[in-house]
Amino acid sequence: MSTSVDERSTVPMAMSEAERRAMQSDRIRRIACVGLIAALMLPAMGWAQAASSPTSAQVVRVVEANAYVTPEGKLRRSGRVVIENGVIVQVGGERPAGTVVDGYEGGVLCPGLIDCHTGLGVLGPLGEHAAAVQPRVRARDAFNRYSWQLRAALEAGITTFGLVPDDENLVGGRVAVCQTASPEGGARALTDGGPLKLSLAPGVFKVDREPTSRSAALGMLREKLEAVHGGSNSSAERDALRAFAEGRLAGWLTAPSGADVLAGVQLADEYGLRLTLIHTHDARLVAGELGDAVEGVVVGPLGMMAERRDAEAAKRFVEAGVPVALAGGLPHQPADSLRIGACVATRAGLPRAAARRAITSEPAKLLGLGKWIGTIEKGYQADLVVFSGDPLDLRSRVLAVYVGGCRVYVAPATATQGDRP
Amino acid sequence: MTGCSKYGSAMGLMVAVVLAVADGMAGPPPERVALTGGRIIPVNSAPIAKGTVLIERGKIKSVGPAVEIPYDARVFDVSGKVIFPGIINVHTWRGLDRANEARPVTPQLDVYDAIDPSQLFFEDCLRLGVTAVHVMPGNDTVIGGLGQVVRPIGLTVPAMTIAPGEHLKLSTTPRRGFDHMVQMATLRERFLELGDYAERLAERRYEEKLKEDGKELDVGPAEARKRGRSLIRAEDVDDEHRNLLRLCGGRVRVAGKEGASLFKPLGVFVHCNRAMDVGPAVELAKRNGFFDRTILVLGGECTKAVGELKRAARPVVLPQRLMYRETDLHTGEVRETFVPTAIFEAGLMFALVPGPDDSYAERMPTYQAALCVRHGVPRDVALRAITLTPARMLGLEKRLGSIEPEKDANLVVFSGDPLDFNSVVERVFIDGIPAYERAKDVRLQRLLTSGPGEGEGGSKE
Amino acid sequence: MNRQTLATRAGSVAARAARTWVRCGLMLLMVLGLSLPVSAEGGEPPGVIAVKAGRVHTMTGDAIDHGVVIIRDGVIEVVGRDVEIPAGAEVIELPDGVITPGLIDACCMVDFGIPEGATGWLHGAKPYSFWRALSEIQPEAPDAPSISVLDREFPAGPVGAVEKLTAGQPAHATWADQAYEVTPHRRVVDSLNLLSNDFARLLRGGVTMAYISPDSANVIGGRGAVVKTAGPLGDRVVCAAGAVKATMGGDPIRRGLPNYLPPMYGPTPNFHTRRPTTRMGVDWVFRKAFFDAAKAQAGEKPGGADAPPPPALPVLQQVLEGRVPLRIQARMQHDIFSALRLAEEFKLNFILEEGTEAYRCLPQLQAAGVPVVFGPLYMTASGYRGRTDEARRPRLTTPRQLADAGIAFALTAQELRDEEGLVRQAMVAVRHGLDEEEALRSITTAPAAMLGLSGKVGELSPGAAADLVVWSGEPLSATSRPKLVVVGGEVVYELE
Repeated sequence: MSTSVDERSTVPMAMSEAERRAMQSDRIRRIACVGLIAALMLPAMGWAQAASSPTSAQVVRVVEANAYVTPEGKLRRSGRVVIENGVIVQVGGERPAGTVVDGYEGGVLCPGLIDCHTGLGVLGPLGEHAAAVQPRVRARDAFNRYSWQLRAALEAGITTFGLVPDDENLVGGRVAVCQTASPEGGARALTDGGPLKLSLAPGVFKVDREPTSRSAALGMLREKLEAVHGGSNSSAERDALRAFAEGRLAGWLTAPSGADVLAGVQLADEYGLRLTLIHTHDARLVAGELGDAVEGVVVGPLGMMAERRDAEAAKRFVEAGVPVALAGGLPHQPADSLRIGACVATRAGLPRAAARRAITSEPAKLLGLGKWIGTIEKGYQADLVVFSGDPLDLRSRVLAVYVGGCRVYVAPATATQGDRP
Repeated sequence: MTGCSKYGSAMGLMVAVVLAVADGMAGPPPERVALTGGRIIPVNSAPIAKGTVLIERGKIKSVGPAVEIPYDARVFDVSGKVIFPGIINVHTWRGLDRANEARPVTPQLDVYDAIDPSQLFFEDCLRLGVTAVHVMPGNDTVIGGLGQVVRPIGLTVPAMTIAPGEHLKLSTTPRRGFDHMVQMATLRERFLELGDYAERLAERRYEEKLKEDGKELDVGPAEARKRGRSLIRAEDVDDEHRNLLRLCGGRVRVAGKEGASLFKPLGVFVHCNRAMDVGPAVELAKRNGFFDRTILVLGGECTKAVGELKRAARPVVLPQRLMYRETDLHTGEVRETFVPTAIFEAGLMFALVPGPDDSYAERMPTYQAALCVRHGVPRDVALRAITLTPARMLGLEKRLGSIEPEKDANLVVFSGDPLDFNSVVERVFIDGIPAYERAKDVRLQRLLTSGPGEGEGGSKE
Repeated sequence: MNRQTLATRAGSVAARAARTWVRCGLMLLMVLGLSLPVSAEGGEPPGVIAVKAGRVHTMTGDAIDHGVVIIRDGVIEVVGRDVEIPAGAEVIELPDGVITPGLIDACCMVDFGIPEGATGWLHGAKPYSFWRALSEIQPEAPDAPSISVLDREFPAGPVGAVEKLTAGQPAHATWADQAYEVTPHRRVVDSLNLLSNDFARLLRGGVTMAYISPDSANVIGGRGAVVKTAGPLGDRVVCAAGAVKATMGGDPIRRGLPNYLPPMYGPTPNFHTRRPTTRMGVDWVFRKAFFDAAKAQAGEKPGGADAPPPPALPVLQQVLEGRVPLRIQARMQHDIFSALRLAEEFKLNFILEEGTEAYRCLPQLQAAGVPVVFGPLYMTASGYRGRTDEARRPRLTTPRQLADAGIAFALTAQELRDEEGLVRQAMVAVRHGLDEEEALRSITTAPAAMLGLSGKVGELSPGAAADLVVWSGEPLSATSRPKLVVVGGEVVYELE
C-alpha cells in the first residue's frame, strides 16, 4: 500500500533567504486574514475540532481500493469512499481534489465488521446471578476499555461489537454496544441502553432459586410481561420491561433448542414483542416457523469443526426470509472467528452476499444501529476495514481499519512484521 | 401370605410347583400318553387340523389325524387347542447365578456347576412353552466356558440335563474394561499358546513313550512332536487347555483304544455385538479351525455386516431386541432396522431368543416370532426359528424341535394359534411328563385374580 | 470475485430458495421419522381423500367391511360401505388394511429422559426409557446399569450434549417446576419440545393425539396439554392448559431430598430439600392448598405454614369451582383412598391416573364415579416405576375388572413405546380378558371423552377430525402394524 502523491506535506523545503522573507510576509498577511475571518466565524462554527494531527477527522479523506462491499453485500469494483467529519459523504464517483487519499492497491473496502454477540473486553463475569430477572443490570458496567482483547479484535477487522450478558439468567440485563477503537484513540462504549437480554438456556434453571424448569421460566416471563401493564414492578425495572413488553425495546433471547425458538416466537406473537433469537442448532426444523414474528436471528459461533446442520443454519434462516447475523463468540473464539464463521456458512450454502451482510449490516440492525453503521453508504459512519481481498476469503488479511473516519490501525507492510499473519 | 416376605412366598410357590411336577415324576412316568383332538403344528411338515400325538416312553411314537390309541395310554383331550413343539431357548445366561466370571479367559469353566434348578427363570420357561434351554456363560467375557442344554424341570442338574455341554462361549466384542485391541490380542494369544502347548505335550509324550519302550531319543524336536501328536491321551491335557483343544478339533488318544480318536469337537457361540466384531470372529474361527462349528450371536448393529455374514454362511442367533434403532447424531434422524428381516433376506439360518424381561410381550418367544411375521418374515420360518433351527444349531435335531416320531416328547399345548397374542400355554409335556398345567399355576393365577385379593378391600376410612 | 459470478449467483438464489423450501419440508418429515407422503409430487395436498380398506372400525357402531372413509379439508365427511367417491379425490386403497381412528393416549409422558443442568441427578429418577434409549443410540452400551452414566450421558462429547438439548433428548421436557410443591399455575406445554423424536415414535405406533401429563414431582403440579403428534407445528397444541395434576403417594417425597439432616451431613438447602417427606405431608400440602384457595375466595388472607404461592390460588379456585379439571396420580390402594377422601372433603371431581391397585378399590371408585386412566400393564415394573415401592402388586386383569365394574377408563402407555406402546397395552389387556371392542374404545373414544373431545377425535364419524390409522391387520394382533397414518387429513406416515 502507499499514500498518494497529492498529500500536502508540512515538511519545509530548502529555499533562499529572499524567498524566505517573501514567504514570511506572505504568511503573516495570510494568517492575519484567516485570523480575522476565524474571529468572525468562530461563534458560528460550534465546538472546536479534534486535536491536530495529520490524519484528523476534520480533513476530508478519501479511501480507495480495488473494490468495495455494497449495502446488499456484493462486491463492486472501484471502491472509493469520501469521508468528511467521520461520515461517509460519497461512495464511488470522482476523486475530489485537495484531499488526503489513502489508496490500497488490490484491497477491498468493507464496513467495519460487527460481532454482535461477545463477551469482549470484560472485567470479571458478565452474569449477575442475584436474581433471575434483572433488567437493570447493564453489560456496559463490566466493559474494560483497556483490555488487550480489544486490540486483537480490532486487528482482525472488528470495529463494533455487542457486549452481551451471559445466558444464566432469565432476564440478564442490557446489551452494550462498544467499539474496539475510536477517533479519540481508545475503545469506547457507544450505548449502554442496548437490547434486553433474555435466555432459556439450561443454565437458567437453578436449584436454589426460580425458575427450576422451562415451564416456570416461561410462566415467569409471562407473569412479568403482564405485570408490567399492571404497574406492579419497581420503577426502574418497569421502564425496561415495559419498553420491552410494549415493543419499544428490542429483546435478545438465547434459545438453544428448537423448542425454545418456538416458545420465543409464540411469546413475540402473543405480546407483540420485538425479539431477536440467538439460535443455531435446530434451524432446519424451525426456520419455517419464524415468519414475521422475530426481528432476526443470531447464528453462531461457527468454527471449522461446526457440524453441517449448524453450518446450514444461516442459510436456512435466510431462505426463510429471516434476517441473519453471524456471531463470532469472542473472546472464547479466536479473533478471526467472525470471518471463519462466515466462510463456514457460505460453504454450507449461505449466499456470499448474505454472508457479508451477516457480519456487517445485519448485526448493526439487530443492535439498533442500523441507520448509523454497518454499511458503506452515504450518511453512515466511516467505520471501514480494508482487506487485501474478499473478506469472505480467508486468505485475505486486514490492511487497515478506520473508525469514525480515523485510521486506527495499519497492518505491517510484510507478514513477518507484527504478530498477525 | 401377607406376613411372608416376597422372597419367602416365591420360594414357597416354587417348591409347590416343583413338587406338583415331581408328583408326576415320583413314580415312573406313564408309558403311553396321547394328546387327542388338537390342531397339530409339527413345524417340519404341514399342520394337521385335528389329530393325535402318541407318546411312548418319553418319545413321540406317532403323529397323525387318525392314530390308534392304546388302551393303557393316558389320554389328554386337547380339542380346540394347538399342539406345538417345545420351544428352545438357544442361548441365555439365565439359570446361572451370575453371567460371567470376573476373569476374561476361562475356557475351563462349565455352566453345569452353576445352574440353579430352583431359579424362577425355569418356572417362567414353562409358562412360555420353553422346554429346552441352552444355558451359556454371558457376553462379558473373552473365552467364557462350556454351556449345557437343560430342561426346565428337575431337582438336580443331572436330572435337568438334555445333552452334555458341547459349545464354548467366545466373544470378539470387548468385555467390560477391555477395548477391541486387547480383546483380539488376548484371543489370538490364547490360541497361539494352545498351539505351543499341544506341541510341547506331543514332544513330552514321545519322550515318555520312548522311555517306556526303553529306546533312546533319536530324532530332533520337530520330528518328535510329529510322532508324539497321536500319543496324546485325554488325561494328559490339563483343564486350561482341554476345551480349547476340543474346540480346535484336537486329536487325543482315548485310554484303552488303539489309534488316535477325537474328543468330540466342541462348537462355539461367538458373541458379536457390533458389525465390526463379525469379521474378526470369522477370521479367528477360520484360522483356528473351528469355523464349521461356529454360531454367531449378533447384536442389533450387525445388520450392517450382512454381507460378511452372508459370505460366512454360518447360523446366527438374533438379539433380544429385534428392532435396531440408531439416531443419526448429525441430522437427528432415527433409522429403524428390523434385524430378522435383513438376516432372513440374506438367506441365513437364524434363531430367535426371548426378549428382555421388562417387556411383557417381548419376553415371549412366540411374540418374537409374531414380530418377525409382522415385518414380513414367512410364518413357517419364524416358527422354525424358535424350534427346529435352534435344535439344529445345537446338534439336537434328531431329538428336539419338531413333532415327529422318534423325537423327544417335548410338546406345548396352546389355547390357540401360537402367534395369536391371546393364546396362552395351557400344558407343557417334557419327555412325555406333564410338566406344567396352567390351571394349577398358583403363582400366575395370583396376577390374574378378580376382586380385591388378599381380603384388604376395606373402607376408605 | 468477478461480477459475472456474482450476478449468476444472485439470479439463482430464488431458484435455489424454492428448491430448498421443498427440501426443508422433506427434511422435516424425514426427521420426524417419516417417508415421503403420498402426495409429494403435487406439492399442494388434495382437498379430498378417499381411504379404502378391508375393514373400518368407526367406534360409533359396528365395524364396516370393505369400508371407505372420505376426508375433506382435514375433516371426515362420510364413512360407509358403498360410498360414492367424489371426482378428483385422491384414492388410497389398502385392501388388506384395517382402519381405526387415530389412537389417543390419555396420560402420555413425552421425552421421559434425564434432565440436565441444575436439576441434575434427581434422587432415584432414572426412567425406564432412558436405558432403552441409550442402548439404541449406542449399540455397544451393555445392558447392565452399572456403567458410569456420566460417560454415557454425552455419547459424542459436546455434540451429544447439544443433541440432548434439542430434538434428540431434550432437557426439562416434562419435568415439573420444583420451586414449590404447589404449581398449578405452570403448564407442561411450556416444557414441551414439539420437535422431539418421541412424537415420531408415538406416531409410528399409531398414536395421533396425546394428553401430556406433567411429571409427578410435586404434590399439586402443573397443567397438562393435549397435543397432536404430527402435523404443522402451529396446529399441534390442541389445548394448552388442561387438567391440574396432583400426586398422592411417594413420588413427591422421592423427588425431594431429605431436609432433616444437619448441615455438613445433608445436601445444601435448595428446592429439593423440601417438604413433604412423608405421605401425611403430601396429604397436608394438598389439603392446605385447597383450603387456602377456598379461604382466599371467601375474602380472607391465606397464611400459615406451607401456604401455596399466590399465583396458584386463582387456578385452585377454578378447580374448586369445577371449571378446571383435576387429575390425581395414585398407585397404591391407600393412596387411591387418600385421593378419594380428599376429593370428597373439597367436593372435587377428578380423574385417577395410573391406578396400579385400582382393582383393590373397585367399589369405592364405582361409588365415587371416578374415571381412571389406567396403565401401563406389566408383570414386574421396571425403570422409574420399578424403583418405587408402589408397583409391587400389579394385576394384569385390572382393565377387565374396571370394565366389569362399569368404571369409565382409558388405557395409557405413559412413557413406554414400541412393543409396550399404547396399542400393545390394549393387546395385553385383551389377552387378560378385556373385550376387544372395549379395548379399542379404551384407546379411542374413552380418552377422547376424558379430554372433552367426544365426537371430534377418537372416532370416524362425519365432522370428526381426519385422524386415522390403517393397520396391516386387526390392530390388536401381534402381527399387525400401522401402514398409514393420517392426521388432519394429511398423510403423515407411510410404511415403505
